Amino acid sequence: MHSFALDRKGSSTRFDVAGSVQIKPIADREGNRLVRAWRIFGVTLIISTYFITAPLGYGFFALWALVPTRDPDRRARRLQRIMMAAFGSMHTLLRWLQILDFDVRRVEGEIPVSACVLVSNHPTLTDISALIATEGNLVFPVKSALFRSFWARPLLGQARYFAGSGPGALDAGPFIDDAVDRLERGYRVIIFPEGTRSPRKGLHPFGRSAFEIACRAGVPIIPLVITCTPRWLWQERSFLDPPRALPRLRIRALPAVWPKDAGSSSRTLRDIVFAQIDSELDHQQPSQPAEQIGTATPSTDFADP
Amino acid sequence: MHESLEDQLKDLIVESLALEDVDPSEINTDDALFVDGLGLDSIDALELALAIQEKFGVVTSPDDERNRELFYSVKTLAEFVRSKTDAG
Repeated sequence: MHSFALDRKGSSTRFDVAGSVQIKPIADREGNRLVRAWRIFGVTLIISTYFITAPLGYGFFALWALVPTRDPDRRARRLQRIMMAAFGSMHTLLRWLQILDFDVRRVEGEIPVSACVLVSNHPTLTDISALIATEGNLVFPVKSALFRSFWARPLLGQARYFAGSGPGALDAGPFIDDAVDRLERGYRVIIFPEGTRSPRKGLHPFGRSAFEIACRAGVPIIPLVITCTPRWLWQERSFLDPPRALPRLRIRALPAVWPKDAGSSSRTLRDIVFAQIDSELDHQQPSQPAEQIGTATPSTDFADP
Repeated sequence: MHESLEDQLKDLIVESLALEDVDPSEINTDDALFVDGLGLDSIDALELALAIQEKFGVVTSPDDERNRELFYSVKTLAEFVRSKTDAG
């Protein structure tokens, strides 16, 4: 196991590459500042790398889109593998830099390789990149404006991603049709039914689209429980405000729920899956310190003692 | 005596969306159908549009920017259906 320690004026912060970071209670102000500076530097490095390399990547995908293909699905799967490798590298780097602990080789539970709808809570911005890094053959709805943007369309469209539902009363129609089409082609579809990142505690109400899609396509729902402890990169915590302890991202798949288990009613299916994910999140909370369940005041982690 | 268009729409909403715990007479003509009102969602809107097309022969375009206003309440839906059937 690789580990190193920062010792300065009585504070001692121990980093454990394979696991977690343990910070002794006596860690002083300078120790905290050092950890915080390191994290912010690492985050800035990752984001800078993205913005420097992204135009090259998107340019390449735009050129690739001009090349005719007989099998668009084969190309889509190649693109998905490229994205899987890219996000896998990013998460490996984040882990190596001790910024976010997520092992891309490890999703707990079983996710079928065949068509299914993955439904998950959404505690942090990093969960979608973690899922892409871990699971191939995966597509998801992208915000309409982003999907139709000049720079992202060649990649997203060819990778068989699709536009999310718009604000109009009947905008869910094309979105559902696209999702069912992807399932019929054998892809797995991931949807965050809360429509936004999860609240401080528990879940926002679930929309019904994911469950209607599963019912129409006749595929199972795989509920995913994602935890990020302590919470980071959510609505109340920006990337420049990393928590003191190393955030640990964990993805757990619960047993499949088939539409027939809910009488093929998308309402009933939604209620069953909501209850399962909510119950799993509930079970985790009592045993964790306040910060680990996202109840700490975000701006005080590095406050002076 | 013929049922008013508003009452027909209320029956249609309850039947087509299988709202077992809602009595059509409990739906106020002016109240919002979605979210804070009757609590319908985007999937309900699709099913309701299909049901209206089948019953009244009125087609709703998904690209129509007025859809949000047209589907706001039983009253706005009735006005929309009337405008289409009168024109036809």
